Amino acid sequence: MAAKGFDLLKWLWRISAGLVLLLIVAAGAAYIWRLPLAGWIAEGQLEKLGLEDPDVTVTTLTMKKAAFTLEAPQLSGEASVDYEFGELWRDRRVRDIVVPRLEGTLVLTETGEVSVEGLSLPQGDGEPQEKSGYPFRSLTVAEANVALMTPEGEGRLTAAIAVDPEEGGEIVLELTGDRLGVETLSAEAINLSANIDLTSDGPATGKATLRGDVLTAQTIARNLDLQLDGAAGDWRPLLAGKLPDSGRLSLNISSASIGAETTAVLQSLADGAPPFQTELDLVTLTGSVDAMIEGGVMTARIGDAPIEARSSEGSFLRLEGIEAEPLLVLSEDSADVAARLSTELPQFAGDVVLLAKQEGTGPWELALAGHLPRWEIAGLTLNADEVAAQGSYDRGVLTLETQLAGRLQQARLGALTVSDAPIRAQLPVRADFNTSLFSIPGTEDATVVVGGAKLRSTNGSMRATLGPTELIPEAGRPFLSAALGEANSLEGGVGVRLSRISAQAGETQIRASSLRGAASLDFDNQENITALTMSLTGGNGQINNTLSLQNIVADGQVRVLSGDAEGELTIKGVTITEAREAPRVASMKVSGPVKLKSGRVGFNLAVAGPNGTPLGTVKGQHTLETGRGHAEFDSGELRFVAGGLQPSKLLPPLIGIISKATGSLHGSAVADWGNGGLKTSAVISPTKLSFSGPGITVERTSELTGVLTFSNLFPVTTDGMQVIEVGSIDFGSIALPNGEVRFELPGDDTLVVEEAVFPLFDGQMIAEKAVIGFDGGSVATLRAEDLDLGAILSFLKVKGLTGAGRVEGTLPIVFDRFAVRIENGVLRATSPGVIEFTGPTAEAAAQSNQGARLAFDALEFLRFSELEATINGRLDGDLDFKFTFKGESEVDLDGDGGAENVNAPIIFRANVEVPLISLINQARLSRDTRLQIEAAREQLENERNDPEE
Amino acid sequence: CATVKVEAPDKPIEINLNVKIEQEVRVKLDREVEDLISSNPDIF
Amino acid sequence: APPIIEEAKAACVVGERIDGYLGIIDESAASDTLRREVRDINQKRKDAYQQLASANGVPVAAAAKVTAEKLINGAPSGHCVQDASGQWVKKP
Repeated sequence: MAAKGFDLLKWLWRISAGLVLLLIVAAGAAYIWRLPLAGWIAEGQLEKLGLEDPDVTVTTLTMKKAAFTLEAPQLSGEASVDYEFGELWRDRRVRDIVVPRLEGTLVLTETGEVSVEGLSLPQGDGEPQEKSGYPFRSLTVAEANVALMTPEGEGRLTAAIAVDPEEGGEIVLELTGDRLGVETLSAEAINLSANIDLTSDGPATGKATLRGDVLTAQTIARNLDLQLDGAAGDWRPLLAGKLPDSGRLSLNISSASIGAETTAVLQSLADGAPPFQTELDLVTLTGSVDAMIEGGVMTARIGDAPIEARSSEGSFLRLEGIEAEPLLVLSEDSADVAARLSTELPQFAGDVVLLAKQEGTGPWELALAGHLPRWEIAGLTLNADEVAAQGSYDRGVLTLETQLAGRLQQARLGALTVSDAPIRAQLPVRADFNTSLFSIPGTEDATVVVGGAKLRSTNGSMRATLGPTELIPEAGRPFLSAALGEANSLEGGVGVRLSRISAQAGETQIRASSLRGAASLDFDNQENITALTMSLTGGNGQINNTLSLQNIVADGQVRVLSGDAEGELTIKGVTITEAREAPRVASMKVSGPVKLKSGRVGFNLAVAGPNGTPLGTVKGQHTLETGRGHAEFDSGELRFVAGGLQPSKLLPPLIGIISKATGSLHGSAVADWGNGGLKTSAVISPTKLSFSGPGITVERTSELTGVLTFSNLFPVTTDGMQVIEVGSIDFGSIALPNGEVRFELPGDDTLVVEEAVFPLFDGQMIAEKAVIGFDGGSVATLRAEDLDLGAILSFLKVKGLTGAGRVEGTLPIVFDRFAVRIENGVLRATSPGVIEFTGPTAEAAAQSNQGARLAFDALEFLRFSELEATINGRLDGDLDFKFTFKGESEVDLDGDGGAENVNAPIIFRANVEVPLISLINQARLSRDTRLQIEAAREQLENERNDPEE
Repeated sequence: CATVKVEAPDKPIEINLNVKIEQEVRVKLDREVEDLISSNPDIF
Repeated sequence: APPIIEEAKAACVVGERIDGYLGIIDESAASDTLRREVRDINQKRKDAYQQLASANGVPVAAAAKVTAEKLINGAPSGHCVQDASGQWVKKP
């Protein structure tokens, strides 16, 4: 990039060389004069040299001195030559040439050749002349006044020269012109003044100042104020028209303002520098460069002031050397740059150390490293804390293997804007200035690790935060490509390994973490579209902190367009649970298609239990913006099997309430959610559903069948009264069979039994208006209607104890969470009946003593007119039955089993306590029973001996 | 032998009888309960 | 019993009742998950008591009661259990 800058120096060098050549011509002319035929021959010679009709008048010609004036359209002037005739003749050498006045026209050709119009200069043979071999001892031109004809215009050159090959000399010249130069480099309102000292021992030193405007093809440098300070190793070869092979030149630009369209220095840098656009209005250029030329190699260093281009609004570009390193080493076939570039431009700020090397006209080998707090490329705004790159720049194509650590502050990738993403990257960057295409090709070894990022859709409807993400450029697909300077031409695609993402769209928030699987991001700024294609093989997530997702397996694509998002996702499997400490709905595995279109997510999913048993389907939709949605679940026929699918596995609140369920059930439910609320309703139709429970108070509820409609599931609330057929409710000791229950669940944790009728003991058990709290501690009164005493007694399974008669009464049932008890249940006979107690148990009881004999005689067949039974105790434990009855029986008074029986009216109060379980067959009388029988016997005898004292 | 005519006494005979059907002695359960507890550690 | 129950027992949030079932002593400290676990265990205990009762011809409540006595006696100090009258007491 410094090459162009160097052209300026080369041009200046050529001009001064050209001037010196002119001098040689003047000296040469004097040399020719030596010919004896004075002016005429001179004129002939001059004509031969292309001078048109030169008019030479020789004013003096002596053995020692000749003086003449020359008048020719292109060249005129006076000269006088002192010589020593012998030297002149023998070696053609003269002593002192003095040219008081010289006018002429110098022609500068497009290719930079300098020639005197109409005169072909004797081209030096390039060999440095020996000091003594010069044709003259000293040359003095008092005032040369030359018109400089250049393709771009005419200038005026005045020069004063005093040269003595032995002693050295001095040249003072001044070039002025309104406009002159060649097409690629010209100058306007130019004023170049230079004076050159030719020291005797060889080196020539010179100072020049240049003021004016310099124009190149690309730029205009207005009011340039340039100082040159140079030295040539040995000036004598210069006389032979050959550039000195060593020398020193220092160039100091005290000011230059570079024109609006493009800037000379910046544009030249732009050509080679990373792609950026510079629309700076007015740039002032300052700085100084010292150049040394040694053995054909020019080494340039920054002088005391760095080269700096500064725009009016504060942007600047500064070029400095690096410690002792030369800024530029230019040799015949190679160039070597080592510069520190610091800049503050709208798109590019920071400082970079640049090392560049070019062999011949081959590519520039570049290496740069630096720190760029702001770097805009192709629509990406980067803050590179450290950036390093190695690569090459060849015929307009820059390829850099770049390592970057910093932060992506802002980038528009399609319809998504990415911001503040810490980034570490190793990437191949390619900038082709011929096609002005910037691209990062996809290669395997490119890595981009992003510490996290914030994403936002252009219309702001969606925001997301990414956790650490790795971008994996894919071979054969450009990771990023953009037309230089057109941010919305950015497009690309890259593999993405996400770890965590949390996205928010309106009222809907989705978080996902420990994601596994492959994903790729494609974006096109022109089409304003970003597409995230993913195939997830694992990961967990949450939706609106209400549903949590485990091991998400899904494929799909989400496209963010300028308007909003759309996409399709095929869920292969995801386990959804309520994100609650104690979920109300068990975790389900769902699979099926999910569609996102104009802000609404539609789904139609198959639902299965955690272990895969199909449970039904759920379909519905959810509006991202409002967070409101609707879903309908239909279960199909659910078959419950002990050890397999269980209600509590579907609804965890049923744990410990309903277990070991069998039978089947069909359920359909509807849910509506939005602004924080959830409304549910359901129709549940059990068919012969049986289960242990509810709780521990009921041993088994069997064969429920019915269609129950619920207006709410949480808390469970029926839609008014419901009717259900009940196979039986078995409390353990007593079971209510084949009942029909009209009930309601008002949703306040109570069960309201409107009416429940159970046929029992050939009569009916009826419950009415019973309110049973789920947590127990409530009473329900069963009404017993027209029960058959015989059925009850046979239910008691007391061997030999039978009877007949109808009883009715009320049985208050007390529920608490742990037991169901009957307290003061009373049954009374509604008509006379009979009790019989015969059989071995009775015989055994009767043997004990006489009294017992009598009592059990009475019991053998007792006709009662009144009977009352009181029932107390736990339905699953000691349930005490007490019978008291009044009635008549026949008693064998004499006790000897005689045939004669006297039917004696007896009031018989018996308390029969019966623990209500199958132990009856091992029944035996308890001790106190015998005592009571003896008491009864004594009383009988007293009665008999003196019936009426 | 003389037949003694037994007439039903005019006043009804009152008999009170308490029949309590007792359960087996429960001592036997001791060992079974120990087994129950030890064999179901997850619920006891 | 599962850890959630052991911890609750140690903290006297749950204790052994005299009827053979687990009771919640401190309702406010019992989470839904704990309540479900207690219900689940009680149902399983009832199942066990039923089998024991029918195998030995005693009422379920009786089988439960005997087991309760053993559980209460065996409860480590610091745990809370019901005394005969149903009051919760902390084992010394």
